Amino acid sequence: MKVLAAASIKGGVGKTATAVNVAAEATRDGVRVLLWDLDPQGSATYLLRAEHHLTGGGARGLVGAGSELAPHVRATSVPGLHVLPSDLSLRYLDRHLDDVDRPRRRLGALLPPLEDAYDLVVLDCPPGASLGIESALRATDVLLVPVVPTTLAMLTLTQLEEVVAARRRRPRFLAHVSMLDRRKKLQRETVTTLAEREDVLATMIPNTTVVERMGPERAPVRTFAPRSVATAAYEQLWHELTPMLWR
Amino acid sequence: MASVVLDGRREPSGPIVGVLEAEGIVLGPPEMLRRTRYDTFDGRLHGKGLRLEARTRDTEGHALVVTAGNGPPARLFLSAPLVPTEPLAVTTLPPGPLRSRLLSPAADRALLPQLTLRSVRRSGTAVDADGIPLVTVHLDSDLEISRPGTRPGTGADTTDAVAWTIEVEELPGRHKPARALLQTLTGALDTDPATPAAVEGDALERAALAAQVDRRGWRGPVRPDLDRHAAALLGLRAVLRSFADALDANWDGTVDHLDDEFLHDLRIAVRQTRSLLVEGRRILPKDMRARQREAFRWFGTVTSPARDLDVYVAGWRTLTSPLSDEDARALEPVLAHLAGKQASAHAQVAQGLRSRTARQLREDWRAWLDLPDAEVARGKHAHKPLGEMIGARIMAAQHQLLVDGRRIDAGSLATDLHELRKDGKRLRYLLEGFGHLGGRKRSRAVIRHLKDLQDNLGAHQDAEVQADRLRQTLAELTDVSAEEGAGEPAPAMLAAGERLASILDRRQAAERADFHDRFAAYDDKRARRTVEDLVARMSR
Ligand SMILES: Nc1ncnc2c1ncn2[C@@H]1O[C@H](COP(=O)(O)OP(=O)(O)OP(=O)(O)O)[C@@H](O)[C@H]1O
Ligand SMILES: [Mg+2]
Repeated sequence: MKVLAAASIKGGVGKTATAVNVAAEATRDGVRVLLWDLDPQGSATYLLRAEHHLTGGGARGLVGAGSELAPHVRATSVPGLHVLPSDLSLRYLDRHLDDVDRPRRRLGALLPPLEDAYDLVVLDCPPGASLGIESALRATDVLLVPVVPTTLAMLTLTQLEEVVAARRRRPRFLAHVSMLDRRKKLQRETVTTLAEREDVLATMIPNTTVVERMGPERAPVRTFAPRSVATAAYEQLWHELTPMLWR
Repeated sequence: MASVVLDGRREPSGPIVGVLEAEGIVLGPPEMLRRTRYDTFDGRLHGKGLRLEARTRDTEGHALVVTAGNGPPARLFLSAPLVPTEPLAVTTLPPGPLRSRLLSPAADRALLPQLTLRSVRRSGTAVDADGIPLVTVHLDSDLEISRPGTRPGTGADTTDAVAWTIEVEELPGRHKPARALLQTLTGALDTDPATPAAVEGDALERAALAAQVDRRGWRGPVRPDLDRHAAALLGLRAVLRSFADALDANWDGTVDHLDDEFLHDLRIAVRQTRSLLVEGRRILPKDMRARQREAFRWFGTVTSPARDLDVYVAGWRTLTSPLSDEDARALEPVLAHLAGKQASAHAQVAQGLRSRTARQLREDWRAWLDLPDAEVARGKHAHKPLGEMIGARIMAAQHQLLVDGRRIDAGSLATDLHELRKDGKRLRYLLEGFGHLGGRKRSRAVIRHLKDLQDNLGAHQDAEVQADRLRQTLAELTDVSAEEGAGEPAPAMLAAGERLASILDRRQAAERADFHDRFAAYDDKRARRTVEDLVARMSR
């Protein structure tokens, strides 16, 4: 089982869009995917039509001793894609983690019992670099950071890289261009700079209304716009990631 | 997450379709489905709780499907169907989660088709208001099960005990709808007394059960129950029979070279048999013993080159791992050359084992093993207690090992160490076959102790054999290119080869330097006493 996390210090850059669409693309290759929504906002949970609620004490229950993920998992309308829904109480995740021993190992320690049931776990992280995120990243194989090609985005990219680099067990760090608007000169220039970096993937997700429509449609782009540019881009992103997850 | 299957022998579809529709499940159109179950000869996937099948379905195309326990299936889509009678090698699959999961249990064994299930499948799913599935049902009818022989052309028998199955697939967080549906279905089918209760699993597992596929696979020959007080001849015959079972079990896979392990296991059976024929002096009838020693020497000789090459080719990556990438690349022609020789060596094995000689030898051997005990000619000590006789052999082997080992010093030749290794092997076979007559735990401890010494001697000899073979291959390649008028082979290859050979020389020297301490540890008073103890107990 491999763990792929969509994370970024910056909010609103397309983490959830990437997590949900990449997860959906992976199922088309026969991969059994669990999307774990770690963001208290629950956008991924909403997009996958699951209930925004965790039974058994919410975040505190999750972090507590003897907790299990399996009972919280739900099927989605995408065959082969299951979701571990978010809960508002996840906003106190850091506080609960603070109360336990080795908080950075806590979230990862919940995954091994699912080893046989899934090939891939996709983590949709909230923005930031909190303790909860660090805990999630410790169990992560590939950390995928969507970057909107602006100068500021570059800055947050380096910041997150520092957070990761400081840890002994660290995921492979990869970025991809998100919400690219080719009409903007500044973005075109930034993309050229980004393309030189080895940790930036070749696939770029364009800024398109199809992605925005995921909200009202409550589904990954492939479900309602299979022939769109966006769907093709997410498919390509998944294919670029596959050999990095399994060699 | 689970799947449950119901089955029966009579036509069910009429009422069932109605029952399902009443539950909001509309079955899709009928589709042809073909599923072939695969596992290694020794059931490694089953041992790991995995199941592999190749599936062909109209709407899904061709896929390999892996399920763990009763969990959801993982798929690898294929562009073309697999031939359901041919073995499959995990290493040929593209990188991905499915390959990774199969690799650790089945990297060095072929996946063999065990049975094929053909059916007409109709599937349907009940969904909630959000379009999220509640429960999925598959109705399979016109079931046809066939069991391919592992060898193409040998008779495939067909079983058709089960006529239809219904699979109810539970989804995460949807336990209730699945249970409820199952209850409804069981109720509706209750009128048919031929319908057994629902069982966990799916149609393919149900079919495997019906067709009596041995899901656990080959687990080595059944070890005879030995009595240390029984007549030695009886005990020896029982053990020899179990070796013959191992030989038979691995025969076809060796002839077809399905994977390297068949030959390996076959050769173990041959060596164990040879060793026991030697130890059987004065217990086994004299002329039979002489004849069979000859026969098994022949089996050994016929299969030896292929096994050596298997080890060399399979171990190539490990062997060349101390080299730079450049050197490793430069040596690729050596590997290709060896692989070519390996293929012809296996062709020779196949020819040898298919020969009339081989068949005759095997038949003779079986005939003797199958003789009623009363009709078997006896050696002078045939009636003596097994424990006592074998105990004496163990002491003799131990004595030989100690004498030869103590004689080794700085001036000894490498061949002296090889001879010592043979002494150790003789002792190990005796211990493995009969040591438990003196107590399992004690016997295991002695074997472990002996293994420390044997590992050193084995590594010493392997390094020498590998270096020799490498130098010999380089020389052969030089000859070949001279014959073809291609001039000298690439100097980079020769240089890389010499570098690898000298690494092996150094490895051999290091093992040699280690020998003294290892042997001293083996030739330790306490350790010797454990062996004596073991023998005393088995001879009592
Ligand atoms: N490629 C795109 N083109 C157009 N709109 C996009 C694209 N990707 C995301 N969006 C829109 O931008 C908004 C933020 O996207 P998303 O929720 O995926 O980002 P996020 O990084 O997960 O945000 P947060 O930090 O709040 O979790 C959403 O309204 C989404 O529909
Ligand atoms: Mg988000």
